[in-house]
Amino acid sequence: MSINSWGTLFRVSIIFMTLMLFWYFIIALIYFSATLFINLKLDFFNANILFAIFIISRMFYPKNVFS
Amino acid sequence: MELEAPGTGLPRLERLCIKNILVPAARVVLTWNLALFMVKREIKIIVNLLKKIDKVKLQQKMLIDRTFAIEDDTRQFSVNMVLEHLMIAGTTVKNVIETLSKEEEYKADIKIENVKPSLNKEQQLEEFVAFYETYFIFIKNLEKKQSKKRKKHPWFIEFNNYDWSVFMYMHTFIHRRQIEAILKELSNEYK
Repeated sequence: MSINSWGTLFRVSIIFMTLMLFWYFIIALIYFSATLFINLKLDFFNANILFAIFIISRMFYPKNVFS
Repeated sequence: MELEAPGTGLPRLERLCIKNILVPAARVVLTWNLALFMVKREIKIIVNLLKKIDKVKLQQKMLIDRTFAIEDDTRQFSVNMVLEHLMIAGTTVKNVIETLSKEEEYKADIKIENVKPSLNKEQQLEEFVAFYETYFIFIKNLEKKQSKKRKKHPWFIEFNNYDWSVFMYMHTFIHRRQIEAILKELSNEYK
């Protein structure tokens, strides 16, 4: 593979990580807001769980991304 | 040097990685608006790369090492040929999205060899920018609803209207990298 191809794969990884972080921050923000308004304990483990649920949901809704 | 014929496709491993990893991952992390934002970003990068380059150089065909996700015959393109290809393929994608969004069947066959450039025009950059402006307006005004109707991409799987909008981003990104490789080759020649 050419250097350009490796560079492309590197950029693809960075873009995906940035997009994942973007969604993580949105979910963490919603979770943080919820802990302020509802009497919930702030625990980032819960934010991670919510993020995992979100990603899995996106894999199958509104459509199965593997089909 | 003899290049492979148009429509030969990608190396098997590369095609499978894109089909089974990159395409599903992009469909998970992108939305209609994010995909549009990313396409806009790519066009901005391309315009910034090309605005100071001499028009004659943009028409000069350069042989490059194969970049990621492009066919072998595409290795000997000029920058304007890449832009022309992005316009031809982009027009097809736009038409497919429009048809699928109406829940109608897109009847025409999509063939890779039909979206190859042939003109290598001098004013290609202006036409390219004008086309993408129409695409941005089209997507902005489109009802963001995923269609049940699908149309298969020749290399990958059946895409609905949203998947084609995500593909538009990935395709533009891949060819932006090709443009960068051509520019690098051009700068080496004019050193």
